[in-house]
Amino acid sequence: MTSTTSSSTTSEKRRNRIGTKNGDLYQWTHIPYDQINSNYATQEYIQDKIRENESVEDIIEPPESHDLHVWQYEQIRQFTLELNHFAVHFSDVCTAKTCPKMKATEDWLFLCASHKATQECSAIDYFFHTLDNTSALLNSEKLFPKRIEISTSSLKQFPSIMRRLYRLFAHAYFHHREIYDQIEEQTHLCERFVTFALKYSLVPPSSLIIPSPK
Amino acid sequence: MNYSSNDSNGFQQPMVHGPEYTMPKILDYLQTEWYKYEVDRSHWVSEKSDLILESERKTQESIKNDLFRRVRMLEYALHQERLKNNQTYRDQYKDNKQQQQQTIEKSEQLTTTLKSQSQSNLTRDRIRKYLKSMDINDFIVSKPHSNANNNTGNGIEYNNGIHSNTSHQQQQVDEEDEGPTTAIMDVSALKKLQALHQQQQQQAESTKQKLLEEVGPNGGGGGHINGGLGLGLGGIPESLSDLASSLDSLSSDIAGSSVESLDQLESLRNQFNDSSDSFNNAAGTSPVDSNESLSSLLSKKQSSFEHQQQSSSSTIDNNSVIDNNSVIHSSNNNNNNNQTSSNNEPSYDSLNEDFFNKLSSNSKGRMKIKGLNNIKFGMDEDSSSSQGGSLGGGSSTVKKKGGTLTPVGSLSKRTGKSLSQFGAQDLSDLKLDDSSIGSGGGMMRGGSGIFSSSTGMADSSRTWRFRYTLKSHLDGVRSISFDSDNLLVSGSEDHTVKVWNLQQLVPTTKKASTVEVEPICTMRGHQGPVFTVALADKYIYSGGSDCIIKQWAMPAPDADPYHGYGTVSPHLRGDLVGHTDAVWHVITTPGGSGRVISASADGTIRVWDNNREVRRFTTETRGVVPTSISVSESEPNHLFIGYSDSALSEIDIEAGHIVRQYKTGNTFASAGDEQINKVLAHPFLPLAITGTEDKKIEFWDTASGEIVHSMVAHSDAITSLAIDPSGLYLASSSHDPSVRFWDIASKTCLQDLNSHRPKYDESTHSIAYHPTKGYFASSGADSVIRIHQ
Repeated sequence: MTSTTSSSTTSEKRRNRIGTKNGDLYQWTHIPYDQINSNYATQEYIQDKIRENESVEDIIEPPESHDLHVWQYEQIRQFTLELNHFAVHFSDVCTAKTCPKMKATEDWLFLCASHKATQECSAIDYFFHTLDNTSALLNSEKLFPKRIEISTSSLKQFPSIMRRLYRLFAHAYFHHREIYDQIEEQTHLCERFVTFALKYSLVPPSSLIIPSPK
Repeated sequence: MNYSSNDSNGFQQPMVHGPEYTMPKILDYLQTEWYKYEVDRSHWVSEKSDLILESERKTQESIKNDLFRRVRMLEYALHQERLKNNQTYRDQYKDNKQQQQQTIEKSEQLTTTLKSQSQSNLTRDRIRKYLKSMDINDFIVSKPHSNANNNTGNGIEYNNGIHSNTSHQQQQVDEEDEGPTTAIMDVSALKKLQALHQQQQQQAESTKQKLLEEVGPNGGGGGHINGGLGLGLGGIPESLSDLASSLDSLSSDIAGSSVESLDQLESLRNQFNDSSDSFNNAAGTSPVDSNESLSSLLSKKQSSFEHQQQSSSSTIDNNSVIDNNSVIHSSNNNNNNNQTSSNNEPSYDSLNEDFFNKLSSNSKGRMKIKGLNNIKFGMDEDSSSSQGGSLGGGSSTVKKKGGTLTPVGSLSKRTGKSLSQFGAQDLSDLKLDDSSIGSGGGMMRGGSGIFSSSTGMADSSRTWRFRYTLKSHLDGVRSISFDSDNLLVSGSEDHTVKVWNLQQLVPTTKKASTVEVEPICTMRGHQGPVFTVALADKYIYSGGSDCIIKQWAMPAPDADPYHGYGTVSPHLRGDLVGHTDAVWHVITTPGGSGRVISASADGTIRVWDNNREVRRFTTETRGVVPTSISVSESEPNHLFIGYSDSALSEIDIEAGHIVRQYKTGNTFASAGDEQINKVLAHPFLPLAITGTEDKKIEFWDTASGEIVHSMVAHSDAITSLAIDPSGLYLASSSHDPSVRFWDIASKTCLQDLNSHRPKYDESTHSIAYHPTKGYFASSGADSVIRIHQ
């Protein structure tokens, strides 16, 4: 497929060559969305924006005339990816011993929905079961056979995925506040997540239990 | 849905739910269509080649049938001739037989036997000569089977096999001619057996002397005959011929066939040779040097493979050694054994038709064995193993035959019964045998990659078909690796390492590619993209942009992804800390030394032992980064390094010096445009192969340091290379975004797979062959792993 670069404004390849130093990773010129020809244009566009450290609003704002279903799908995909990274930060502080139950404050206990029958999992298990399950859903051949066109019947997955993913933030915020704050300062991941959820009404405001920083 | 208002600004496509023609969608549509077309085309091409092969096979089949008919005619003529002449010798031989059946005491009769033997020696020699040539002819006749798939290299191997095999047989005959001593040695080798039959042994010992003197040379002859001439059956049973009346004529023939008939035979044989020569030409094997050396090396590799088989099968054989059948099978080994095994029969009086059938099955069996052995023996010579070793190798094949190819037994029983009409019947059976060898090989081919390529048929024409997609990663999959069993490990830019169990890929007939498999385990712990994974015994090593190489325990194949994690990284076993920049390549050294070697963007290569850094090599030029490293299986201390300035060198990691600088860096090229992306040392050939950013695959002779071949192989940067388990084929992946398969000997492209869709300007990142199970996997920036079979 030769069209990958033909209409690109840059002759430079947007590629991490093998052996690239960390400082040079992803250091290619970001091109406007309508000039991206690849199948994964949306993902590229979102990732480029995140790497450029754009504001939360800019990142979740779709390009003009973008298919909103695809936009949501790719955003959720990106959130899941980043939450994998997010979860790794708790490797020393959140174990089955420290947090045997998936709680956010003492009022909320979440049950793990990744099993045939929902069950009580420890917080860290809940994290990974949810992430694994979300990865499976997003990659499901039945629900999302194509990443450039989302069938309307699969849209109903989005709210439940978002609702579950949000709980990871909630647990981190209420039980591992220090680490949460550190990450949030760097990535604004939760802020972006909440803004996105509200923008597309994927999570009811009542269940957003983390107090808004503003 | 209430978000349509968000889109009201859109002036190009005001309708949200209407059809949208965005660039990616159109491209996707075009690509899907194009892909469909490509799939159709490749199917058509493979069908076409199948058809061509089919027709070629048919012509060769018909030629073969024709030759078979000629052989039958010759045999018939010989048979008639012998019938005419055998009467004179029959009486004399009957005497001899009776002599054997009685327990032997009288030495006068022994001398008679010797006398008769010396008389017939001349004729026997001639027969042997004749049979030997027939033997070879037989191989030429059966050759089309192995050639049917255009594999010239293996055709040659086949030939090699014939020669070495023949000489081997000759050796055995010589040993036999020495008489009892050799046989006794063999008896001692079979001590176990004899301990079980100690009483009979004394008797047998004396019987054997007689028997050997009489039958020995004939037994040798039998060894040669086994090409399927009915005569072969006569060789051994001669001394027992009274048991099978139909055999009488045959057996006496051999001892005393007339000179005239042989002369006649000789001329006929010449004729036959001529025709077979021309057939040989028609078969059209053109010997290519490189192919020859390749195949010999290949066979070397196979011999080690067979050794494993041998060890497993020999135990079985020992257990059942008393069993008549297995005795006979082991007697297939060589003719000496044959004698001893018959000695172990309680007494010759009790020899009955049944035993005779077994004996004949024995010789039939040997005929079959030869078909395989010609490959085998060639191998043994190449690996320069001792005589004992090669004999052992031979026996392993025999056992395999006895065990797996059961149809042989029944088949040869049939031949035993209808021995009198040996001609046509035998030959048709032989043909059956051949085809069963073929199909047996075919089955093995399906099972294991190594064996397939060594039996050498369909592999060159093997086309990989896309079977499954493994989806779970959320970003580009940078590296994949198979373990020796059913697990596949993948490292991705989504910061995770995932382990997949290929057994969960249940082949469904309808839409195999939509089988949904989740990884059995996801390993989190890296703080950035994972660029490389490597497997050692029970561990997975992964490296990425977070500079720390992580060592993970291999999960159980039946691990449940939704089990209790307990901690973030329950499988994490160790951190290899030291690199100061992204780790781009990690390899483990062969042979279970537990060493790990890593190449990093910090310009160093580090050798780790038990997770501690034991050696470090730093690039001399600032800014130059080792991009890829490889260790040859044959020389595990020699590390090949490809650099970002396109340099290629080989260092001795123990001594710490450069063994050879194949190519110096190109300082003028703008950064990394010609960099080596992958270097691969061939597992057993003196060959290093590199794939570069500027689209080239280059072959380096590690013996001379010269470049052997350089080719522009793709239309974009080459990302990875992999060598097929047989060592004959190379796969290359590129950002262009295809995967191509190459014949290493001829450097021609065998197949082109279009696989991963590009994300940014990256597409296919990594490819891997499964060492034994015939999988080929590729992974790419589209976060998908594709499994081919």
